[in-house]
Amino acid sequence: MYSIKVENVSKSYKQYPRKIDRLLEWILPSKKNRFHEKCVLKDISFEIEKGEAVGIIGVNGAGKSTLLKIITGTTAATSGQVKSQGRIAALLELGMGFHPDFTGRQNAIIAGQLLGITEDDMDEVIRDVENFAGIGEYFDSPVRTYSSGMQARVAFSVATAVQADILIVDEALSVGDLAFQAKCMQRMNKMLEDNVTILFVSHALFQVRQFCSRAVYIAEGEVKAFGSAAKVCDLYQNSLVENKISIKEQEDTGLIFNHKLDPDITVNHNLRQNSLQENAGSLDLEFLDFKMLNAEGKEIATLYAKDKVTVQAVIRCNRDVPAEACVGMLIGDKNGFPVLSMNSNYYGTRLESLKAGDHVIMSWEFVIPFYMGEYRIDIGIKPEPYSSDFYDRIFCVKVFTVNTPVELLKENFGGMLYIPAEMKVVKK
Amino acid sequence: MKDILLAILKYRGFIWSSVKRDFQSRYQMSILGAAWLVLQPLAMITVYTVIFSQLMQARLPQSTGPFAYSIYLCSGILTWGLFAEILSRMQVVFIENANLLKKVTFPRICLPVIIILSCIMNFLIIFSLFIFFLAVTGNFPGFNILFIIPVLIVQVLFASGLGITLGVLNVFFRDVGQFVTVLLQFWFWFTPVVYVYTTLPVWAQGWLSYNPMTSIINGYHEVFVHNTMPDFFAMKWVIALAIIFCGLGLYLFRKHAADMVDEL
Repeated sequence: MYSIKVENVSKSYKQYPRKIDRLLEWILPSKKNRFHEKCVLKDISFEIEKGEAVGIIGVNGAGKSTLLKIITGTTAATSGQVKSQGRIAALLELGMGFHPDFTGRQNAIIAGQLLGITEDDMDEVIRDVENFAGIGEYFDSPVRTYSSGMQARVAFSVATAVQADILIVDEALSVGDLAFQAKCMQRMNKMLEDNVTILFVSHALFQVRQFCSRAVYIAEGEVKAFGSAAKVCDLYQNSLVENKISIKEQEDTGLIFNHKLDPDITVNHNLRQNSLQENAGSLDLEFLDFKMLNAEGKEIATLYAKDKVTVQAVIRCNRDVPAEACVGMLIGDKNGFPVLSMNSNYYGTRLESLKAGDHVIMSWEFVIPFYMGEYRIDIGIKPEPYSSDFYDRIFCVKVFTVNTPVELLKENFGGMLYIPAEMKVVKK
Repeated sequence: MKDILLAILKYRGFIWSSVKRDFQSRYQMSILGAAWLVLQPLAMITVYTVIFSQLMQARLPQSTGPFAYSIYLCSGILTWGLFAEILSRMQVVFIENANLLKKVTFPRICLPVIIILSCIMNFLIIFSLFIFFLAVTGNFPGFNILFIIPVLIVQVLFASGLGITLGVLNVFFRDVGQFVTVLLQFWFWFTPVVYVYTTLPVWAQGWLSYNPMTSIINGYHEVFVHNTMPDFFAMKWVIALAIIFCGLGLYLFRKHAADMVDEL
């Protein structure tokens, strides 16, 4: 028995070239269309079982939120239809449509009424919302004084306070702090046990992998993949890297410094997109590219624990430099906390003196020690290990995700690292 | 039509508490609170009484008693206030609730209903004070006061129909909102609220009779000032317009409700 059935849903917005055109269309009897359609969803179909958690993934603007709005019913589909069974509680775009002048409590009551909670149950539901949101006396202050995190707390608490048959959550967990995220996950797990269907949009793919059994990957308004969450997430993350390479190749043509290069000397113009230019150093030595390759030499952004990877930094010498330079790589977690530091001098490797125009490729080969999580890599190159100056430095040059092997996932593994240990039950 | 009524019935809890919240939120942040409900029209009535009654010596023809002009003014201004409040709040009802409409699924017809009810509630509070004033000064019209009930119903229907029409249009054509503000200014002075209809030249009376609100406001004057039955026959146009606009409003609402969220 399906819980949500999306059948050939398409959505297009009417765009009128001039404001007056819509008026003319309304007034004049002619059947001529004066608008052109902007298509945001094309022929979407899938079916979700009762009690299933399904993730919806895709880049910003792919149409995820529009799809959720159509399923929830706040927006109508242009064609096709959505069938759903039971009461839907939805948390769209971080809010429940809160009124800024009303207090959290008043807004919770409004939302509760709209969800169909009766007068008799309201007190208990509101008490539950207040406890779960955990924002203390702010609950009785106007919502306009809230931070976005507090708003998300109240909104999530309200949406999940009553047992609906379907819960739709659109990126609600991305603004809350870690403690609240954990609380939300617990509550959603509880709901899953109670056979609630959950539809979940998140950019935190580890959450989708961990929590959802299946996932829908949407790109440019179309379903690119629908299947097991792990496979769909892999596909999505690797397609992101492929996209980047194709952009890179386009931009590469017509470069001034396009003399006959070793094919390994590649340039990536997106290398510094997350790093401020003033953080770079003298640029006597400059990073041109940074790659993470799997055993087959294919560039990747997602990998599994114990995978062997090769990380390569392509470096160009812009001005003659003496020997002793060393290249460092720092792997940090999502919050930027350093987890693993790998400077070339730890491994007894320093660069020789270089002349302007020279190229060097620095390569690290290692086995990924992590079992799960999202990580970022910062890279830097210094004249010598103890110097405080940099030749070049790039923050967040790469982001990658490590996935837990399925066997461990099945055992409900939840850590960042897994170590062999001897375990036994010891009786007193 | 039936589904609309059912939806209203089902969401009556939400509607009723929204009306209460609307009332509270308007006055709970201020020191004088609900007193503002009375102070605002009172100030307006004082201004008009001073300017028109005292300075310009504008007396009612067949003037009866010192309060005649004040009663004339109050019966017009308070009821016009109800009309103007419904109209000006209805035309922004969907725009102001965009946040809610985009995120929560519920029958959208609730929003205009909340506005109508909360306007009526405000009106009844202040109007009962007016009735109290009439009783104290010995000008209570007796059983004739019951005649204002059908007049009020026609007026509210007319305002609601026109309001919801403008409300839907305003989502798609934001010029409507600006236009309504200007329109209400002109409309007020084109309606015999402050001045007296019968003292106008005949040609002006002719023009004014095209204004649907003239027969409504005259109706109140007949009850409160002259203590007679209103001229219901003169209201045939406004009754027709009320029905037309209610129909048009609901038609536009149903036809474009789905597109509305995309525009907000």
